[in-house]
Amino acid sequence: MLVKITSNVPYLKGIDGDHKVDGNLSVEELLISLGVTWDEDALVLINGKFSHGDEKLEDQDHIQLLVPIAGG
Amino acid sequence: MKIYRIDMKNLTVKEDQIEKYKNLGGRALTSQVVHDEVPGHAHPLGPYNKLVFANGLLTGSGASSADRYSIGAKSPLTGGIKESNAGGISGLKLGRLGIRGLIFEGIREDFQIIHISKNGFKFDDATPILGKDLSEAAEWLREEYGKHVAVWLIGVAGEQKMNLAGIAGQDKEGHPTRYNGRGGLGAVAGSKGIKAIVLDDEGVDKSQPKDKQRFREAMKQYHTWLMETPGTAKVFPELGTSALVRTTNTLGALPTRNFSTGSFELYENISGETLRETLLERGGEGSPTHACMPGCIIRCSNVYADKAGKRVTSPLEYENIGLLGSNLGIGDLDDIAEINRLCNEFGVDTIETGGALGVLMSQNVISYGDVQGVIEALNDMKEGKPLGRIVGSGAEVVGKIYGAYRVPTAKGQTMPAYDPRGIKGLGVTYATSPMGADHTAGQTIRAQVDHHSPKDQVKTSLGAQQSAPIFDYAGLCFFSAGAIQGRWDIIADLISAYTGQEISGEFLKDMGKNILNTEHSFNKMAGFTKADDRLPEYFYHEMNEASKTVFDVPQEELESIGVEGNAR
Repeated sequence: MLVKITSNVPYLKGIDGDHKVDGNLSVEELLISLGVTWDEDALVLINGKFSHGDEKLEDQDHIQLLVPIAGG
Repeated sequence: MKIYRIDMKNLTVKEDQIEKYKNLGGRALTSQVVHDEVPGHAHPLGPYNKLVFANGLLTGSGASSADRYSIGAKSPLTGGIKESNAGGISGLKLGRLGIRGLIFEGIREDFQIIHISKNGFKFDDATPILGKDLSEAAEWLREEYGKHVAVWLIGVAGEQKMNLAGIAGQDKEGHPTRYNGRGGLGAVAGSKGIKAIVLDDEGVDKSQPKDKQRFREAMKQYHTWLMETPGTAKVFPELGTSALVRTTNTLGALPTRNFSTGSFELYENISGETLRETLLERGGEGSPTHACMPGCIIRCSNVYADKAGKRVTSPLEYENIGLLGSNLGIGDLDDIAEINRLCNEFGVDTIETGGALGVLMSQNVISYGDVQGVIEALNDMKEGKPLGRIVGSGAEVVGKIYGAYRVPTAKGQTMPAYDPRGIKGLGVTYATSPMGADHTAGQTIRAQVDHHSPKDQVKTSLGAQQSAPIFDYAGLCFFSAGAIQGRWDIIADLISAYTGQEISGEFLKDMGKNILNTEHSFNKMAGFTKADDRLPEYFYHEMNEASKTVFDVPQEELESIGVEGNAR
């Protein structure tokens, strides 16, 4: 299946795009396999909703990575 | 480190001897003094209010991102306690003079310059800089007292005692653009006749840690965290706080046209990425990264330059872009920078100004997107004309004068650039913080929680509200939070080694809770009740079309951490 990642995080631009995913991976497992540190590198949305990390990925899912800072 | 009391009525100074203040710093000191010494019913601009400047415990220590200071008083904007916090070098210079805090008492009609040096305090007539733009006034002060000094000063808004007047400090290049903006503290300074404070550290040695070896070790660990954490090491230095534009627009939380919705069709024009590209392309005096404090690793600030590469303003922060940009329907960085420049020159809080102008636009007094109309209103403020006076009173007063229903304030203070329906934890903070709507009082956006759900928001906000005062006590920038991650023992080590006052991580956590309780307790004395722990009505029933949510955190949950749930 194909999962799309859109990254707004400058140092995670390299994983932007479609990813072919096999098996029964969760959002967190996929991101960790791509070198993303969970709950540190990015705020994560799955299909426009906040991810808890344990959602099982399905074909055409869309993961968005948002900048993980507190503004001021 | 000493604390001085300055009687502005009689222009006399004495060293304070109150034992319980000696080990306090930053927000812990400002809030304790206001709580203990200002009557709850005191008029904010009257003789019984006090204006307190207090360095954090680490200010001037050399640790990264730790030169911040607090200013506190009873706020003319909220009617409650206020602490406002800033970086730059003014706190650092105060510390070099061996001073932890300044407590200003009394009021006067004229304006004074308070010069502080190793020789003591001196009062000079401020007439030569009254009515001037802040850049001109600061330049005059540096010509008069020497290029090495740092200053605090108020602008024309503070002279006129406007509710949105801030107090400006100085960045390391000498520009008076680091703001204790919130709560109208510039008006309190104005009521006391404080036009400027000049910090002259000539002939004073750099302060040293009490235990150098221990300090070096703790600082090494802390700096390693800053350099290894993506947010502090990569995002802030590259994009600054404006990196949040895309994030909040995606979450439906970017305030747009008087907080009517949470996404802006022109958001890409005002994003951190566009800001960076624009400044790199223009070159010259502009820079997408800038340290407001010497040695800061985070370097979130920037210098905005025009098409010719000439400096316009600094910094252009996320909050400024949100409140003066999307909230006013303005989608051009050059326009926002010019409005920001005027705010800095006149000495006003950009958030409150954006809030007041947004409400004005909602009533068609100025059209959304009308940059010239905004500039004219700001110039009216400088000249004290009626429309300028109205804007200068803040969003709440603008709303009352024009009969507006949608006024995005909590406890009388404009919300920062996060729609509370899109990031509900911040909505909880706005409603329940003793400071009124203030993101620095309990920022929750970083948490990996469902920001659109009412669930767990009170817990998340309370945690943030209890940890925020720790940063303000220590003098740490709260942007270091992502790197510190609650590992307070090392920060306690840093403070212990620098000050010689032995404290623990647990002590710091208790300190955060105690400061918050003290502030709620003052607000209770000032007449606040659970009825004040609410957001404006429209957020509860008018949907934010961008986030598809209303604010629906149960009121009884909010009240459990508000003034009646929290005050001692």
